[in-house]
Amino acid sequence: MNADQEPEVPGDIEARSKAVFDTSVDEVNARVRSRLTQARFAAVAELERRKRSRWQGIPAPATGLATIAIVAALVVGPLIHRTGPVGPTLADEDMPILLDTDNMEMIENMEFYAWLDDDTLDDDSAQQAAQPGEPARS
Amino acid sequence: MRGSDTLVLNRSALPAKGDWRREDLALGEIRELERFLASVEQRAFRIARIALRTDDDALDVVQDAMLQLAQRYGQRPSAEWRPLFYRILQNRIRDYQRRRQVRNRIFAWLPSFADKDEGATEPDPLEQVGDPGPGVVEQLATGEAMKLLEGALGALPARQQEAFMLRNFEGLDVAQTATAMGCSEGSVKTHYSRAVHTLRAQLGEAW
Repeated sequence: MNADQEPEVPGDIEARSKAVFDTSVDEVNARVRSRLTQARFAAVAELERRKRSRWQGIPAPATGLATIAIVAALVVGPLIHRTGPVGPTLADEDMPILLDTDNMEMIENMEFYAWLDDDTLDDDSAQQAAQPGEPARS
Repeated sequence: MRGSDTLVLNRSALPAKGDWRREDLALGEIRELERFLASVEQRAFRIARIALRTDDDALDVVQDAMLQLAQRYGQRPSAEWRPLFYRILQNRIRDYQRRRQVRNRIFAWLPSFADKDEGATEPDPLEQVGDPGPGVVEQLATGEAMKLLEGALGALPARQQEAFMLRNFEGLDVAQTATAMGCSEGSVKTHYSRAVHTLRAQLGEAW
């Protein structure tokens, strides 16, 4: 066999040195283990930071699509299922505001805004607020 | 009543679902890296310790290797991490050794440092075999066999030492070792074979 060719079967030296090495690994002292653990945490935190920044940096088109779907459900859903009188509908100028992903709270509180926009309710409130004998404000 | 007509929205559930899935995947990869590093850190430390002969230098290179793996290759498939990690580790070890050689040359040039540093920075590993007073690791339980092995490995040329430790201690195959060492598979076989012959000659009788 050529002396520079790697032996196929590990010899005694290889097996013995591996066993000695493995034992020495098990006997690494507490100070070193602690330092290694800190180093590992630092490396993991670095990966976590990178992944998080990458994850947050994505414009997330799925979020935009979800918003459109929610708005569509809000607009179309009540129209399909409503049996009584049709309530307030969204004006064209409301759509850009609703499609803005920052306005999720507005979507959540859609019912409240519809209530505010309800003319009938405004009239009733105005009449109740008016002093007796005075004409109600239009 | 209007409540019956309205669609009840749960903001936290609807748009964030995809984000959660993405975050779960990212967390899974992070945990995988943590498991990988935990599985290699002590072995890497021992390898670096044999090559550099001080705990602090060994800890520094292992720490650098971990951080670099996370920074540069954390996004890569975990199957690739092992050879990449050892490649970074070996590069860092070589950097430290080169730096040390330069420092030694400078100190050797200065007469006031020459006497003091000559023995301390370039010790003959075989002479250290019987030395009972090195670091804490040895005192705890490394044992005579490990001292002999460290001495013999320390006397090997750097590339033979790398090939032997990666192939034999870490169980990397020839291709992975070649990746880690940045050389051809043929070179790995040659370095490894020469290392085994030298070690057998030096340790054969003692073991």
